[in-house]
Amino acid sequence: MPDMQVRVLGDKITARNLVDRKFKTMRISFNMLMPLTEEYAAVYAILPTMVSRVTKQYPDYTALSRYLSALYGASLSASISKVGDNQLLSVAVSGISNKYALEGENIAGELTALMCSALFDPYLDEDGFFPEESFRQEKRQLLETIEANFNDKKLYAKQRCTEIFFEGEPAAVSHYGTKDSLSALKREELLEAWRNVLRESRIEILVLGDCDFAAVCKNISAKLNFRREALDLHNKIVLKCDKPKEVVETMKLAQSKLVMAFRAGVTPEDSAATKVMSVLFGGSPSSKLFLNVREKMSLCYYCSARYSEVKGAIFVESGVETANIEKARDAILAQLEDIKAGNFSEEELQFAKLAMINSYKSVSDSLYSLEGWYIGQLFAIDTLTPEAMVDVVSEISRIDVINAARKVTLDTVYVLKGEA
Amino acid sequence: MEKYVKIENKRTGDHYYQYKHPTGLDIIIYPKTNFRTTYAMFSTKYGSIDICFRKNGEDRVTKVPAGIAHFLEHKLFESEDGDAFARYAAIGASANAYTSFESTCYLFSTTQNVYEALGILLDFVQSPYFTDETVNKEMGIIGQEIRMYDDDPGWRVMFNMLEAMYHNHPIKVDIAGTTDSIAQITPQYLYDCYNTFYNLNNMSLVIAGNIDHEYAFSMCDKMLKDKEPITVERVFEDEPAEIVKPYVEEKLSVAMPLFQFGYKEDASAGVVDEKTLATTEILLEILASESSELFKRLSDAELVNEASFSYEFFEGEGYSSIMFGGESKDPQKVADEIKKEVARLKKEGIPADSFEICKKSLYGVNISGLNSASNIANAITSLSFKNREIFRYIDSYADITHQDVENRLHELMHEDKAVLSVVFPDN
Repeated sequence: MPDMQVRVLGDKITARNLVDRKFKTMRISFNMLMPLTEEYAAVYAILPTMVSRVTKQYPDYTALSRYLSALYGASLSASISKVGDNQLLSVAVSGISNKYALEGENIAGELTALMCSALFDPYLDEDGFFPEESFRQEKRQLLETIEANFNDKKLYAKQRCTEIFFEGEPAAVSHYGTKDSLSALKREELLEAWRNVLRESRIEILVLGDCDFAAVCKNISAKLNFRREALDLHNKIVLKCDKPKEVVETMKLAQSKLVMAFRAGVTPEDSAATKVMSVLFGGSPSSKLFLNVREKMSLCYYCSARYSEVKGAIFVESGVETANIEKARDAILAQLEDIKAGNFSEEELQFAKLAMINSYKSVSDSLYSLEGWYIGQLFAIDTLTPEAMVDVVSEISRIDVINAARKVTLDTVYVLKGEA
Repeated sequence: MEKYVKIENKRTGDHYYQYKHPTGLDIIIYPKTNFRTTYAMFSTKYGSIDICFRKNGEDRVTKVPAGIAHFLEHKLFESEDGDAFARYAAIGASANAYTSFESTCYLFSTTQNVYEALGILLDFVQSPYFTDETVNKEMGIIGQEIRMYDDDPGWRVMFNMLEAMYHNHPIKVDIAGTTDSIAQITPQYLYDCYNTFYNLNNMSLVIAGNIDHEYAFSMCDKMLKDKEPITVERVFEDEPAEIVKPYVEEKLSVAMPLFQFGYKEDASAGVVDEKTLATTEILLEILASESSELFKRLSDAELVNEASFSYEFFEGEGYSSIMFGGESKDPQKVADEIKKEVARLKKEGIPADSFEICKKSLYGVNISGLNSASNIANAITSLSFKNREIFRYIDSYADITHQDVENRLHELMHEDKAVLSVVFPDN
């Protein structure tokens, strides 16, 4: 891992140096964080794709695609996600490193300029609005993305559970907005919303792979010449559930889905033991859920646990035969009770820690893993490198794990019941 | 003389070591020494389509139930003294396996204890152990997996297309088999197929990442078990050039229709070489990528979206298809537009600038692919089972001419061989 370096480029604007010459590619991602609200989720969701669909220099979608293809298959991309109670709007460029350019092009330089033009000087039509055609296309595609999520029943069940689990918290709101709110969007409101995002968001720029950090910072800084009023972002963690919820929905499916959500009972600062505990519980092929519920009892084809530290939540997802839903649910809870009671071997604990250490050590080998690593820590008080996490996890003891498990409370059980 | 050769490539600056082991195993080690991860794949050229075969030139043809390759993949992780997952877990390596139409691959990825991990891989794949009890238990787990795929509209739309395209070729059968076919599987079938296809002459070991090749080769020398070489000939029923039917549909719980549209191509001459493969990929990039006229037309007419529209050259022993897939409110119209664009390009020719742009784009995609150890190992394995070599494949892009792509266009995508499969919402 090369020297880490964070540069402050403005009010709540930082750039992180993740340059590493061993890669044959480079990537710059520009990440804007805004509070997640029902009112604005849809308009913010459409903005990253709006600004990156066409640019002033390439006001036609196909012309922009051709430019990127000719730049050795480079990309200008947009994405939307959720980080706790906040909505993350990302625009990124990536391409091969300059040394592989066949005609001496400065690929990283061209892509930085392209990204800046998309972000700070988007293409507007003669009325001064985002173009109608782009708006119509992006709105449709976003609506289709929401519909497509319904096709993947594993994803759909997880989404429904998330909504029920976080009811009343911003995290319950879909980061795409709802179909209704998207349909109701007017293109005239987009420009104002985009200006708000540029002014108010917390901005994290990640510079990754084989490129020149200083040059990228310099080129982006030159464009950050507008007034900023960055918001204070909030992220609430509910530590305990007093009254568990259960929701059953039915659908024509061969296999049912069971998703269980727990409050982990810890904030990100105290989460190391919870991380180990959740891997021991259901985060690897040597976990209790995999070995017992899936392998020994043959109750599920998949059954795994994932801890989301930002919101202090643990989700257990499984695919089960309809007749086995109750059995699977009891078996999953029994595994957690076992951990609380200390019914796990030193070996099982060691396996969980080794699996985590392996995955932490491999983060630096992929630009996407590195990006995900630092995005995942936007609300951490101290940002840790993957290497530092290796040390933290190594120190976690058996008692730490038992105590972490004892803080966990069941909050939501969601069943998507298959009916022939 | 060294027992292995070093293969270097100027364009990418990369190299690998190749060792044809005396047991018959092909071993390739691709160093990525600045990386922490090592990714290894021990694979057999044995997939779901291998349900009828002839051993050592015998007259007798052996037929087995569908789904054994995948069943074996699940079972090999078990041995008399425990489970390979647990052995990997004890050293902190992450392990997995998968079965495709033509191969079964066992893999690990690790940043620690790499030689121990290699030792486990070489050991368990060479040590089968099945009993009635373990086979019966696995039927429950695989039954669940098959049912999960029954609910997967993307999987259904693909296999429905293959069923409408192929009369006899087993490519149309689900990789995991069917609930009925797996019910017929016995330990004896598993041993028979194992002893046939897990012969080292029919296998490869590919490792990419941070590993010392000399030491890894010496481990192979110690651990590879010499066995009587076996030759396996895959036997397929004659497959007519014609499709079964041009259209198939099913209803499932989806929000928007899904489609898979493909042309059945001539597979009689066997799999294509590196240059033809690269030529076909350039052709598809020109025809259907986001920078294409076709994509613009489909997208402007709100018929496809960027997130789901895809295209692929899908080929192997006895099957070959150019196919397109995605979500659309009107799949029939998408199919019509694709046919129209193919006809137009055949008539008017491919624009020279589109050819140049797409060639550069795919060069970049190939360079990017060399960033990741898992990509490299997967690419080398799947290429080599089809007698292709990775650097020859990457370099072939530079030699391809506009005329090559034009010629390829005229060989492919004939309207009478087109099949459209649609999954509609069930309400």
